[in-house]
Amino acid sequence: MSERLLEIRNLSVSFDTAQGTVRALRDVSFHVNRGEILGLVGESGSGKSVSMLSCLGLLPANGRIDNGSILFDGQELSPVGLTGRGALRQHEAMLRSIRGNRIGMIFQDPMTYLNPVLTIGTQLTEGLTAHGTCSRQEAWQRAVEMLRKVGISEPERRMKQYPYEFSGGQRQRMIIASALACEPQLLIADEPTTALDVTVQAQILELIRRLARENGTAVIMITHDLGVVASLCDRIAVLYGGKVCETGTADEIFYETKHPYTAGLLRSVSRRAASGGKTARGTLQSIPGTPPDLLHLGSGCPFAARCGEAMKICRDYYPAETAFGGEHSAACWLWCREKAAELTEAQDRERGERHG
Amino acid sequence: MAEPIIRVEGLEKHFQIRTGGLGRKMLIHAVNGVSLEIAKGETLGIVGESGCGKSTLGRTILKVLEPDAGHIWCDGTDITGFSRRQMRPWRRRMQMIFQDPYASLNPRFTVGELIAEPMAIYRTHGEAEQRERVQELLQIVGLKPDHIRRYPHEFSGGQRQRIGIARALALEPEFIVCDEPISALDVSIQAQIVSLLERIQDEKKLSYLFIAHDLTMVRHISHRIGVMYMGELVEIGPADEVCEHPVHPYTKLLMSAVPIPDPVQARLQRPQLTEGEVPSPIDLPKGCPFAPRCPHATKQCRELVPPLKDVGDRQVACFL
Ligand SMILES: Nc1ncnc2c1ncn2[C@@H]1O[C@H](COP(=O)(O)OP(=O)(O)OP(=O)(O)O)[C@@H](O)[C@H]1O
Ligand SMILES: Nc1ncnc2c1ncn2[C@@H]1O[C@H](COP(=O)(O)OP(=O)(O)OP(=O)(O)O)[C@@H](O)[C@H]1O
Ligand code: SF4
Ligand SMILES: [Mg+2]
Ligand SMILES: [Mg+2]
Repeated sequence: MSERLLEIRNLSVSFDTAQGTVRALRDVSFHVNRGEILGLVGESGSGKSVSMLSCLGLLPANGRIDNGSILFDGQELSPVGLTGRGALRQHEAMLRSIRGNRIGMIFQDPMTYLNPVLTIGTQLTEGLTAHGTCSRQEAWQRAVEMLRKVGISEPERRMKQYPYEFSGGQRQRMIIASALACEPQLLIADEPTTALDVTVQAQILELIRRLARENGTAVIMITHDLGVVASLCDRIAVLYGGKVCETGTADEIFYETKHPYTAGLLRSVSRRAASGGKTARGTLQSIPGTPPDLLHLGSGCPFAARCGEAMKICRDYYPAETAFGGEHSAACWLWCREKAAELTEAQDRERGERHG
Repeated sequence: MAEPIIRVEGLEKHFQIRTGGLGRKMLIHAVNGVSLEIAKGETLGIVGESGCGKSTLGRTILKVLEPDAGHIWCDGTDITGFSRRQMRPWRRRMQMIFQDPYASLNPRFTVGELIAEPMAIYRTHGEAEQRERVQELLQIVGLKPDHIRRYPHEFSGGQRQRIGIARALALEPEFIVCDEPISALDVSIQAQIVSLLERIQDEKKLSYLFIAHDLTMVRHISHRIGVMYMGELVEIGPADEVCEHPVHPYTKLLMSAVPIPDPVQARLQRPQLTEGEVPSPIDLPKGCPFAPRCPHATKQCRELVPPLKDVGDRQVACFL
């Protein structure tokens, strides 16, 4: 049995829109081991949710996987290379049997995934009975138990209520409960605690931690909250502009930061934490500039336009990946200056030849 | 003193829910006697337990929900009993940015249509003016001009939240309820949005009721902070004071549970998880709502509801 429960290799995903093709993921690779908690962080729009939706075969209709492999427990989840209606239908059936069963999902937008006209109880038990693993009565018991675990008081009564009757954080916990109830091998949690106050958040994080440590569940945690990442995650992958720009253990990412985007992100957060929020108005620090336009991507480093250390080569060539031992690696020209120099030279020579 | 933009007194909002087979009805006391004031140009931050009634408070102040008791004054006018028609001119002055950008944006409208909608409803701008204003708003919230023809589902979570903010700003309101406007955003866009809200506030003397869970952000943007628990305000006072020297045991618990963005420190100080159940808003316990979880609870706390009392520069509802 391989250590790696989910392994994404060279995944590229794009969307067709009226304005052109949005290249949401380009050649993305990362993995999560059994019992490990992987943090997926990165700017809004960097492709975190899209990478997970791709694994689950849940991309919206205008999206497609252009390339890449997604191995889950040895099984290929990527449809790349499949041809013929039969094969695709079989693939879809396989994904359906895995979703909400062996892979539990907590989505970023709870309301989209809760049916407004069904009670919470119906929805929670439906998920459990759908895969034929337990009876209605067992499912009801299990759902009540899970609601209690995520801190919902009087779960029996609340099972009979409709989604609109709950607060934002309560709905989020419904989704968490339903994802956990199926005892998945892999839990994908997309911003699971954004609507929760810090005390309930601490409870949920503890629940997830125990799940990983005691049941060996692998967890992919998508979050903007670096406090959550620091206290929960074993390893971190940082995404920027549809690319993985740095990955490593939590300590490597926080204390041996290599990529300028990661550094900028940490700097703005730590400054805020150090001040405890006691910052003068209008002085909130962040990385200047805006994220890249995924419709018109150049060939260079997607961070180049905002990077304080950008060199000429950064705008023309995507940086090579540098490994720093263990699993720590970053894609940035600062760490492979020799190769950068070679390329710049070749570029100059070419230009010289053209002009000369 | 100048007239506050918003004043509420003894505000209550209950929800009736059906439970059990006999159609027995029960009441949820979502907001349970809240009184507060928001000055012109001021930001009042609201923090508290998930489900404690923050969103309901915001929506009741805007009269999106009808209050069950208490009064609401907007700029000195008692709007509590106003009908929908009477509310119309007031609606423009009071807007809301929602917690859930997915549910609040109609998926069949393009971004341009969504942002123009409030202007179209209130017929505030001519057609050309309206188009111009949409472009201006897109720019203010940091979206690109060609996003105008795209649909909400084509955007990431953070991008959608900015569409909601552009909509709320369209009519140049005086008071905005910001219901977790930044929870779904990444750190640098959070900073941009908060700076944006601050800038507009300084320019237009806007007032905010700012609901959020990120305590450092709430502290940064708020002049005063109110802490809610089970539908009641348990502490309210100057932002720095409440954060640095919390008085109410629940506020203390809240401040101690903020996750630290540093793995080593985080390993060293796991927040203490509280024992005891969060009480249900259906059967409010007698006495202080925090008593079942409070390490200092006495017999008195379990029997009597502590009133909100002045303690130095703030008000606290605790017998200690
Ligand atoms: N259906 C779609 N059509 C076109 N573009 C899309 C679609 N869905 C997503 N995108 C684009 O793909 C990119 C990645 O989106 P994704 O939702 O993965 O971002 P994210 O990293 O999860 O961001 P956030 O933190 O804001 O949730 C974004 O730029 C988004 O605009
Ligand atoms: N339409 C409704 N019908 C019945 N109960 C409701 C309704 N709306 C809210 N509630 C209940 O009222 C209480 C307060 O909800 P509210 O949405 O105000 O909480 P909140 O403080 O905003 O929480 P969160 O931080 O999770 O968003 C909750 O217990 C919720 O279940
Ligand atoms: S490759 Fe260049 S632009 Fe990109 S992060 Fe490194 S230094 Fe900055
Ligand atoms: Mg996302
Ligand atoms: Mg709410």
